[in-house]
Amino acid sequence: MPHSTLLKFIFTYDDQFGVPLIPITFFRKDGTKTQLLNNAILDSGANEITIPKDLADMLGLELHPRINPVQTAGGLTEAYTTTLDFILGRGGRFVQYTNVDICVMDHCPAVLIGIHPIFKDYTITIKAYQHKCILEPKE
Amino acid sequence: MKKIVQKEKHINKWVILNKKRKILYSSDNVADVFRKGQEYPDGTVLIEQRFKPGTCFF
Repeated sequence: MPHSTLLKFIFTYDDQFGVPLIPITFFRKDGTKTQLLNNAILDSGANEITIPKDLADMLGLELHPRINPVQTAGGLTEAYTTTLDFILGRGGRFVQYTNVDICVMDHCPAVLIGIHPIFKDYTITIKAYQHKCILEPKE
Repeated sequence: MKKIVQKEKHINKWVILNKKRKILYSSDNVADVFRKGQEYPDGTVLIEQRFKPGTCFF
């Protein structure tokens, strides 16, 4: 799961939804980029990056059914595994990840940025009172 | 930071915004929005998901 040089980020997000949001850009299977998704949810309660199946299909990702069901807050659900290339960041400052294992779910309510790989690569501080999340590369 | 003022019709939808944060397109379907986004030059628009204010995430 290679990535380019990790950078420190300070993301300010709109607090209307009350959860920390970060910018991410996906790559399709053919290597072309999507437009920037400005508000993926930073979610320490998710093991992996998790995206809706409709989006995975649109990106042309090859899906493999997970052997075990996935436990969500709403109960058990079927899910898939695949690999994804993506860019974290915006405004000319970004880190590119390639070949990252992610989870795909039929009824995924949002794009969730889980523990693997972002929380493993960064010390993350959420200043909810300032609507900021700070990502500092691991030492 | 500028506060987002949501129009009722865009709540719970995925949207495409231009640099002035004007909504250019919206849909319930995330794939439709990402597909439509490709019609714009790279980096000239961005995609957001709009939740109803007060929506809780667990």
